[in-house]
Amino acid sequence: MFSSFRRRSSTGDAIPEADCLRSIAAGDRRALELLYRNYQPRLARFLSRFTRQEGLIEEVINDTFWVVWRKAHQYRGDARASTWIMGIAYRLAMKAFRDQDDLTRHESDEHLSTSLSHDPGTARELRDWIGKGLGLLPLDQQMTVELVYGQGHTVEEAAAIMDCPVGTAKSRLFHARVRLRNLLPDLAGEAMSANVDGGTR
Amino acid sequence: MSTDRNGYENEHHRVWELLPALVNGTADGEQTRRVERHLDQCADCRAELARERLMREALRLPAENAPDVELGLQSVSRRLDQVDRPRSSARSPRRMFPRVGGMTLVGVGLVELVALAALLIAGARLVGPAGNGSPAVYRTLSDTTTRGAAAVRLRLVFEGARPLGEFQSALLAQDLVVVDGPSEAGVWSLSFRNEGHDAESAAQALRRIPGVMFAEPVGLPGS
Repeated sequence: MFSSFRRRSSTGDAIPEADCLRSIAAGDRRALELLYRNYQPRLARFLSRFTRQEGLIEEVINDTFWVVWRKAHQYRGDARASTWIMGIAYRLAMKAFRDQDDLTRHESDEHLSTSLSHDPGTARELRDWIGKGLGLLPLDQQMTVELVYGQGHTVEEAAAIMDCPVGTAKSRLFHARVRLRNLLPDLAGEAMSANVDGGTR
Repeated sequence: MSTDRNGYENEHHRVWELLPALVNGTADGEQTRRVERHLDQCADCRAELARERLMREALRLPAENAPDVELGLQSVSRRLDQVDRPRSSARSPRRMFPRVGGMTLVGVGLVELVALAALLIAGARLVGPAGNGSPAVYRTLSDTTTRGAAAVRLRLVFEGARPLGEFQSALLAQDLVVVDGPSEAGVWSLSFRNEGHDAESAAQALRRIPGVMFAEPVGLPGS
């Protein structure tokens, strides 16, 4: 049973996801649990951007792992395991959202313009800031931004996940970035410099 | 000068396109160095990089409404307990599982619909293939002792309240007969009249028929 399994992802150990999928294909529930623990938070983060319904988030996550369990033998290793898993989650999420018509849409532009004028200083404000900014984008652009920035995928991987040409994904990202640049306040100032400096420069 | 300016603009656009990869850590060494060289002379890109790093930070914050991991695992575990199929089989493991969350059929995915159907049907009487004389058996979904005795091979749900008669010819074309149903959820249980059919193939054929909301094989392991 899952309850008897060892928590591994919580320790921060790297999980060889492709190996996990191979084990899952062979019927190893422990491997599935391992993968679930590793992916549940990031999938929850991804899905929570598009719905507020915790039940729906759980439903999509669990369906994702149900499909992973069923289809793991189809994973051929020609893409990162995370891309394959996210592709499943993406398709299930899109279907669930269409069915539920529950996409988290935000307030009017007028309200947003006020909200967005505040610099996000805390986690909640930061979350609201990005959420409201993304909320003004078309869903496909939101998804692309989430996959690239939130989930750390390349544009090519995002295209694979969304099952669209790479050019389409690039275009979505381009337009999303332009739009967000105009929507979000300029945060390159001192208040945020502590968060953003120290990378490449 | 003009050439220099054009060169700068071109490089600016190329670097601007590279920023997401730099921000999410997928840029390679050469791309990173290229961006760094440009950033030294481009305030716009520095500002953009700062903004996008903050975006990434915001997008990587934990979800506020994240479901409980343990409860989710328990839910998945229950699904697997109920299907509990031998993984060495090459058959598709489309099976039934319970849904933990919502209670309605509206808006749920097909997999969930199957799950709910399974719950409604669980424990119901399952009979053998028509005409084969097999005795009726009873089983729960997790009961493995009766495997092979029952012969319900597909679950089927039609859209709306469409009558079964509309689909009889399609069922017969797949050599299928109704052995139970409809359940409260509108789920019909089907069996093959004769041996030798593949439930997955039949399900795929049924799914192509307008009015069929879902068709899922529930073939028992080894069947």
